[in-house]
Amino acid sequence: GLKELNNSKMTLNEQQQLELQNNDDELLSLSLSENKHSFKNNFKNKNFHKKSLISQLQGKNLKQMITFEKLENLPTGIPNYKNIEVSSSLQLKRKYCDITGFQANYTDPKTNLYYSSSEIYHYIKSLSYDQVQRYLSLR
Amino acid sequence: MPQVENINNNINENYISKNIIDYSKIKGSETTIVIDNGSYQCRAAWATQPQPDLIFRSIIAKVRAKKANEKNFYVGSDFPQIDSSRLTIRSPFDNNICCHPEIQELIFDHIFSNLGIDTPAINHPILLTEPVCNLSVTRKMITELLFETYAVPKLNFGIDGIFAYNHLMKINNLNEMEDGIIINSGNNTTHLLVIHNHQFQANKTLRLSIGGHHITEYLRELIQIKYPNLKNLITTPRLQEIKQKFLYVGDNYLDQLKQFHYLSPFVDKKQLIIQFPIPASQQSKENNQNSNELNELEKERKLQLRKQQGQRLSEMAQQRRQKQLEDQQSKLEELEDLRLQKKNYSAAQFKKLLEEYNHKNIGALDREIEALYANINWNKTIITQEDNVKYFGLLDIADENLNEEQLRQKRKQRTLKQIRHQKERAQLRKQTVKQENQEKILREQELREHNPTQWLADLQRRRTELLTNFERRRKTKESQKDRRGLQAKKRMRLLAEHGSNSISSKKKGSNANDNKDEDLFGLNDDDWNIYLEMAGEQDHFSRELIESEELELEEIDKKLADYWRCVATDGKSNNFIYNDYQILLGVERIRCPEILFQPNIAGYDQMGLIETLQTLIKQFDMKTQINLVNNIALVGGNAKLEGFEQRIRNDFQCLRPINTNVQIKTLQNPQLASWFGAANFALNNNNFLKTAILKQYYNENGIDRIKYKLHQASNIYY
Repeated sequence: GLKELNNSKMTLNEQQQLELQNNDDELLSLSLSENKHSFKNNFKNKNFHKKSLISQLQGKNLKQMITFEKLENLPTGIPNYKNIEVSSSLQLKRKYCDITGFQANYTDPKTNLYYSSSEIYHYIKSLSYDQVQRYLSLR
Repeated sequence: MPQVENINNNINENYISKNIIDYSKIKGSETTIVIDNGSYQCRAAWATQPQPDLIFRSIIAKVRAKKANEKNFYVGSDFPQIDSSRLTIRSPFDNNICCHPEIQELIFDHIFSNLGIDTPAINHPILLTEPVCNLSVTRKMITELLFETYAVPKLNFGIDGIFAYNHLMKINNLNEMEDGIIINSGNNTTHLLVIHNHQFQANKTLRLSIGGHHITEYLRELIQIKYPNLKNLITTPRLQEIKQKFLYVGDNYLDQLKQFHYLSPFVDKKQLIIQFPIPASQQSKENNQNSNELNELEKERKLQLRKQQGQRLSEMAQQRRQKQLEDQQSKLEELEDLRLQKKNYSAAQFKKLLEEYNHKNIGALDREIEALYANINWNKTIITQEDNVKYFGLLDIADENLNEEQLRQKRKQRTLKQIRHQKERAQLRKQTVKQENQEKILREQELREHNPTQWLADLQRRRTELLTNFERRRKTKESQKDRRGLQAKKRMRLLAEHGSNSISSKKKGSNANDNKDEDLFGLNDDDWNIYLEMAGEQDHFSRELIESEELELEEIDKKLADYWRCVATDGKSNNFIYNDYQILLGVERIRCPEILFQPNIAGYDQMGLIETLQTLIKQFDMKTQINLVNNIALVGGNAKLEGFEQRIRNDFQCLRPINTNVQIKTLQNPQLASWFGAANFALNNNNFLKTAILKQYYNENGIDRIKYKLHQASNIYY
């Protein structure tokens, strides 16, 4: 067990000297490769190269995969990734002060920031445009 | 004062158990490998093990290696501290779906090699967990990966939430798949699953797109807005540490908020000061602090050196003059001798002699003699002056008694005397100013020792004065910009009046032809007073006044900072180095986890957790509602937040009819529950092998025509 682990780690280091620099394509070719990087993968199939689906979808992110999935063509009633998502709230939206986090009863008409007391209002007046935008982007 | 908490760098979440079984014992058998693939953490081991042997973060750190020996990538969070420019961290997950099979492959490699497998193919069935409503595309990609690259014999998928639920039921001595609700709060999402009639009701699941990751990011943004200069310190592992240690879910949110208000009596207990570790470069600066005293000594030494050098130079100049004087005197003697000897030589011979001295005739020789005389006198006077004899004697004598040259001398002496007087006066002034400053400092120190409250009060009063000055200036500046303000109206009125005045004056002019375009402003000197009126009560804000006041404010702040730990400094004063790397964690402690319950706080347009529960429950009739609500399970990594369970119980209980029970079950370690459930499923449930996908089947049918068989914890396949 332990000895084998150590041995495998040794071969890891040695053979990794042969490995190419990193790139996503390289990563894929790492696994697709045949005999060069046979390291660690005694258990890996060396002769396999064509992973049709993986090579087709490699590099896509979640949104692209969802569109690839074509969830609209499914019959309704089946739960899928999109329709189990919860909708927007029906409850009253409590406003919290953008600066301190306490309950906000007032809104500054110029910047649209919520604030909870007059001291904070003075502080809001001294903020620059960038800072105001940052506070607003939190919401 | 709030308590100060230290952040230890990086919780190392990598765990590789020492009890990994020797592969030779398992080789040949059909033991399943159970892999609980989570978007935050991956847990894997043989199904027969009592607990997962491998627990590591589902990330890969890719290193752009400089040397050939360095590894190219590390799996998990256990990578060395390399410059972040060379390091990229990637995860196979995007939201909660495993989208990147090539990175997932590296994770599988890591798992299999650490389990000790050395055969050419993996000869063990694999049970893999997946999220609810996993995309079929990603599922297919992973089956392809496992079958093709690893030649796995059997493969099965299951929902992690249901496995965790079954484990919980088992611990509480209930049957698996009891009716109930599962709240699975993970890294990226929170799912609500329903088990009804001992079956997973997939079409009633609901997903809330808020998880631990969103909480961490919200915390990061909040801290960065308040402390923009600590941007480099606030790394993701430290944020996670803060989240795990200090954030909690507030029970009754509005009431809990009030406890963080600065007037509340609990505020010191609730707020925390988090001390970040100080980077090494700053620590060396602090060591240089102590050499400030040495610097002063050095300065004094340098001053003395300069003085000595000055003295030496003046001495050298004197010596030079002396020498010059002597030279000139000797030359003068020579020339005079020559002059006297004119009688002895004839005209032609004398001329030759003169040429040796570069003179054309006797007149030039005479002139030179005279010049030398004058020079010698001048040098003599200078030398005598440098001997610190203030030779202003001529000033005492009245003008009439002196001849012309002496008058000139007198004028020179007068100016010299004036210069000397001015220098002395300047020196005196400097000394008095210095003395005054020293006395001031002494007085202040005395006051501080004898009457510290008075000293503090004085400082604070001065500080408020300065601040009000700043405020006043800012207000006048703003009021000038304001178009509708008082100042602007006044200005407009003046302009309008002036305009109307000029028109009326034009009318007075008799001729209609001329004076129509002529502007009579300025002919009268009083007209210019209009500008004074427009300026109004504007103070003359001189730059120096503003700067001196700012400096004074800085100094006062420095003195007061000992008393006010939380004064935000600019980061320039090295004296308060610990304060520079501290943040005050107040409302954020409950505000960040609150986005699970009120996503509007962070801008997500979704229902909160309680509301989702309510909508979920309402789809059933009363009897089932009671059954379901009696058995709510809270699983998932994000459920480790303190106060989570209590909050759900309190809030949800309010929405239930009277006399109904809300019972929530939790675990000590909710993250491992799904692995335990999955291992149990693999070992003890017959359906596991019956419903597994076989490699032969995959080879025959290909990836697109696989028909998945359902078991108790499987997704709906389409």
